[in-house]
Amino acid sequence: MASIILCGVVLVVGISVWSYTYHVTRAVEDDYYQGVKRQIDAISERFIVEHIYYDNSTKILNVYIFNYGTVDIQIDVYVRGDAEGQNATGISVPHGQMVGIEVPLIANTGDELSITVLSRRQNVVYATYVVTSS
Amino acid sequence: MLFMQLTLLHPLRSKSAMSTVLGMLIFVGLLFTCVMPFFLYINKVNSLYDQTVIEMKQQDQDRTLENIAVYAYPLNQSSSQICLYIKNQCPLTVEIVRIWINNEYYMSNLQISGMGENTTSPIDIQDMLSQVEGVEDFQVKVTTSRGNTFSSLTNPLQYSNDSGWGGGQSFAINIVIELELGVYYFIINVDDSNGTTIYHEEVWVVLESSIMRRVDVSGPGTYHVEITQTHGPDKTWSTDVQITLEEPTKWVYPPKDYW
Repeated sequence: MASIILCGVVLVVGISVWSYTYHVTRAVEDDYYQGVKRQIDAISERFIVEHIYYDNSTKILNVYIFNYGTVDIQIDVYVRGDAEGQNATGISVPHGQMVGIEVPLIANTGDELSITVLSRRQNVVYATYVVTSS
Repeated sequence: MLFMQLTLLHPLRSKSAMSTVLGMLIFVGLLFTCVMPFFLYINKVNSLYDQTVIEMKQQDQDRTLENIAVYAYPLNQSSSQICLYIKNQCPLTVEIVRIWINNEYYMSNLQISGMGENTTSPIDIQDMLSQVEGVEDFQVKVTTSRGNTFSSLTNPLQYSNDSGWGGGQSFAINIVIELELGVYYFIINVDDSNGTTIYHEEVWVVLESSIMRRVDVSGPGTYHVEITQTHGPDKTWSTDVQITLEEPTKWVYPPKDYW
């Protein structure tokens, strides 16, 4: 009788441990994959500042970002130098696409601007631009 | 093996050993269904990461290798259309995704095979030309699918309401031959004032609306340009070109209906 009870206990405890371990390993696997996936996405990001121009009539700096990587990105644009401005709304740029981003600022002809494009995965691209008359 | 046979096929002498065997079986099952797949999975995910790193390195290397020469040119002295002649100077196929003319862009899907050359379809910029007051510069550049931008070597193109197209900063003769669609065989020759040939090319043109060649020259002087078409009856067109410090680049446009 005792041995039957012992077997039952071993079975119940064993199956419980088995089930718990199974679920824990699945959860750890999923966490690990998500972590690595985030790293993969971060190293797969590739984008450039393809074109910049300042529109004197609207007082807007147009910054064209081309995402030539394999993942979609979200970016913020910061402008420093002789004039300052930013567009930190996390604009999405799908992979393989170009998006124009408007940065409102007041600049004069000849102003030198430093443009920093920061992705939400912390990759950075820099560009410079001298305001021309348009 | 013998132990298992004894355990499974014969009644156990000590029934308390049954729980030990069960525990052992559960432990082994746990090892095979949870622990080992876990390590295999981790290994697979790590491989995926390594593979991505290698792929991105390759992509960066390809991007660095990309090298093309871009020549933007108007089809004739007063044309509202611009073409781009592109020479691929790298072994990779290059895809042009966008063409920029000043602040306007035009989508493209032109592919140029390794070390090959290609010409874009004419781009109409009448809207931009209609806004020109006096003289205006046009800067042309292209963007490739690998994320490189290349400026035209004929920048800046200058358009004047009075005299049409011109421009260019270096000592060069830009020869543009506008054509009806067909098959042509051209021999292009450029001699300097001493009679020395500084440029010679023989080129087949098949179903193209134009061809463009840029001939870099050493400096100011008079140069003789001669273009012969030998497919069918021979036709030769020639002109003398004066290169000066004030106008270092000259554009040569043989008449379209000449050929």
